[in-house]
Amino acid sequence: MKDILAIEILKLKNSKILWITILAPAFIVVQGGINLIRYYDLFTGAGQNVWNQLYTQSMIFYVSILFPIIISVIITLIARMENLNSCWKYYLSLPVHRGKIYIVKFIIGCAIVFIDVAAFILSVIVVGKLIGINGSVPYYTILLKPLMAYFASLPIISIIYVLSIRFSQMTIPLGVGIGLTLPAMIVANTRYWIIYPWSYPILAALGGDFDVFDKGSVTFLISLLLLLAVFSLGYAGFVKRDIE
Amino acid sequence: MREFYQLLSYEFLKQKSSFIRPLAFLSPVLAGGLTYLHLLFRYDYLKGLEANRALSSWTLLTIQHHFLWMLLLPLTVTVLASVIFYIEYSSNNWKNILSLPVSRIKVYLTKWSGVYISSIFTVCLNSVLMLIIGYLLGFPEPVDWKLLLQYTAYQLVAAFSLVSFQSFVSSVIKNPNVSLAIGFVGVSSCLFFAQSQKLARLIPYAHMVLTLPDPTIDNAGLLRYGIAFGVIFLAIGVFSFKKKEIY
Repeated sequence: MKDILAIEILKLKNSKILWITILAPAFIVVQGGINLIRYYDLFTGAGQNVWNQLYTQSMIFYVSILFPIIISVIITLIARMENLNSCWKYYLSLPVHRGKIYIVKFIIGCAIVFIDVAAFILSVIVVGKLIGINGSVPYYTILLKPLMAYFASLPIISIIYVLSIRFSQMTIPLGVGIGLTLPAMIVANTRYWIIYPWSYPILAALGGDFDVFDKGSVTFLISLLLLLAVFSLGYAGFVKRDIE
Repeated sequence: MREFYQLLSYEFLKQKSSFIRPLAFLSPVLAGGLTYLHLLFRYDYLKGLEANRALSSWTLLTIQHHFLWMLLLPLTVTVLASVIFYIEYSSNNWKNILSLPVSRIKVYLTKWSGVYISSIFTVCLNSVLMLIIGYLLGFPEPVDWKLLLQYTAYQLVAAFSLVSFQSFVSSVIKNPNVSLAIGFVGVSSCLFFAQSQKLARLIPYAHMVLTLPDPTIDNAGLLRYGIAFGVIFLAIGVFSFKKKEIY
């Protein structure tokens, strides 16, 4: 398992994936900061917490559009290493347990998505300090909510992962990822959010605080169950996969 | 010119085995379907709002559809550009193509045309679907052709600048995930850019936001800067492709 992990990390070394993962959320937060400065009076005129305003300005576009799409980019990139030039047939003909390959690749995908969320959190704090926001940093909001969004996004990661492994054409997982991202903004505001995993991160990151997120515990339970179901299905298919 | 058409026909032949055509087709179908459902359930509520009372049904449809389409169209264009250029990278085909006695300018223009023609198809299909939505919902007013044609034309201009920019990015960057990420970050930030009149004109991702025909929106700026940036980025793309080293 350790060897596979080391090899998978080595493969990603020159893929520029970390640059994408770190710079994409940082760019959005910088835009959110600029927007906050531009409309400072409007956003803080009624005595709102400036840190919370910076968080909201950055998080709206991050969690609604960029985050689910970046998940698709990261996961397709991880699968592309093998999809490219039919590398699966060489990899799967080696005396390595297929299940381990599947699990390790998924763990790496989840870890990179986590780095993306961590980069977002760090960017909010750095941009907030740079634009001179006074007062203590509301870590409860800035740390906890993005982490909740991360856990709520695990089913999305698993769905895109299964598609990326299954189809060699990256347009399919990407198209599904993008196609299902945009309706999430609409679905999140309806009672059908529960059947739509793409709306979970939005609700986790923007749907009020931890207590008000009354769908909270249910969402996380559904996220976990969905993750397990999709992952297991993908795992079973991968282990039995023909070498083509 | 014949050489260009031949290259273009090969280009479309290559696209056949990829997911490009379904993507160009499904993207407006998805947006149209969502707008249809949105208006089917909320038309009366939206029409009853103070801000919408004076609007015709077609204007309301265009405004509601635009909120989704201004994001989905540039995302689609980004994927189309990346995938069309990636076809050559994935099969290591650039060196084969460029070692043939064909002009590099024509090769690049073929790729660019492939992206833009697919985008034109997507934009036109979107307009047809808007018409169908209007009929299905039984709008009381006759079709507002001027509005729909203006909206289509503005989208074609916005797509022109974005296709030129994304084609340039995708031709320079070998890794499609990087060019995709650049595009996705740009699209995610387009509403931020669009809040500043200057930035909205200068950044191709924000041009899509300016395509809604409305007196409060800088449509004239879109026409001027959209065409100008389209030409500039197309020229930059051709120039950099001519110098491209293939190995």
